[in-house]
Amino acid sequence: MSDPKQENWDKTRQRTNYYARYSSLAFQMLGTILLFTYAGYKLDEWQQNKVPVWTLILSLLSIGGSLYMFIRGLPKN
Amino acid sequence: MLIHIRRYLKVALVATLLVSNPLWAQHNDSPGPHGEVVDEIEQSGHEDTTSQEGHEEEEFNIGEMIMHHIADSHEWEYAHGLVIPLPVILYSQDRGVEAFMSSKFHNPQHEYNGYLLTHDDKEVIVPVDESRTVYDFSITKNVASMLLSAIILILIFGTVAGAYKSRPGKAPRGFQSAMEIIILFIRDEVVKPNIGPTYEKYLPYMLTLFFFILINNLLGLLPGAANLTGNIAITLTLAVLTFVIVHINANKHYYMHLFKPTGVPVALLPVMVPVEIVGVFMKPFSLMVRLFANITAGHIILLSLFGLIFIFKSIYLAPVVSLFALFMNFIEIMVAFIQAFIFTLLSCMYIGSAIEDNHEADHGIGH
Repeated sequence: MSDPKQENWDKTRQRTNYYARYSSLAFQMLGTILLFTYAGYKLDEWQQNKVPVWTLILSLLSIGGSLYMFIRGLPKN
Repeated sequence: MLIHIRRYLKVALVATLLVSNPLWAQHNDSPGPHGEVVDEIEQSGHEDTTSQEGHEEEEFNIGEMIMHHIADSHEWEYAHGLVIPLPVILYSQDRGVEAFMSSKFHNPQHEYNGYLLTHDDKEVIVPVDESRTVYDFSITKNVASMLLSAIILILIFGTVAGAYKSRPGKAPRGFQSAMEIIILFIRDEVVKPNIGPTYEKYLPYMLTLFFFILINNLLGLLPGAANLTGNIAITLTLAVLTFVIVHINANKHYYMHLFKPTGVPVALLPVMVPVEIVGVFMKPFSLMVRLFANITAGHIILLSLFGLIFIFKSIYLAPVVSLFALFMNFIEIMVAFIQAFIFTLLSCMYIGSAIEDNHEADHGIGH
């Protein structure tokens, strides 16, 4: 394992792995927030609320929830 | 490093594109070294000026040109004037199946047999009589390109398999050894470590996925080719396949975890359970969007680079733009590999996290 070329290769692979992992986490976060906010928006439209209560509640909740998931998903070291 | 550079370039170019739209282009320049591209772009420029005759100068709408090039089409325009008509297959309740070539639409009204080929922002076949519903099963440019890639894949792997059969136990030779490296790489570096001991069951799917995406990414970079992996329907189908495979093979830990996530305070459960369940659908969503966005962005960059010549109305820009486009093309080749690799890698990780026994092990991607 002292072969520098091999080490370099391992590092590159690790980086690509991380890139794949975290970019997918970002997409998931984004998707979750978008979906919940859209659901809230539609609910408000349906109930014809003056104040967009559902949009507010669901978007904030989804941001909190996905953040929580994201932090829990980080490697523990 | 290259990925970062690419990202900056993309942002810069898209910004240029947005700021400078709509733009003016001259049509009396003599054709430069890119005769073909010039012709093509001039043509699309002409097309959208016909409706705006009142202008003193002719308008070149780069956005429209780019969208025209990355969208699906009922005919394969290899270069300006070199158009291959493709079969149109329609099904309607009253007329049954109808099939004819798309060249039948080549008339001033784009009309044939009671059907209209619209050219607005999307090429769609609509019935003239609006009360009818028509299902379009045509062999479009993307379908034709996919069939082509299937043929190429069968040829490549037929040859490779034949070589293994005819010389069993011997060292691979020529093209066979080139493929062996990639196949072994996918097996040993991607599938095995991420799925675990039962990897063999999923290996055929993963290899197919990788080579299908790779071949189509590379085909899309050829001049005049279709933009298959930059079509969201294709990436959606691939992502749904992965989704189905994950959920057929997932064990009870995986499903239990969805409804009762471990290590989450009870007060948070009403929030976390919906988030977890939505997260299940977000994984294929992220697969879909990533591949689609990367490939489409690459195509848009290359097209807007050539569009720059017309934006600045200067032929002297052409050599610079060509060099830069060449550079981008090399990067896009790299992206073609990386995106195929990442799609396969993430599919493996999703499967791996759904079938592992110890659900505590990976709270990361798997959760």
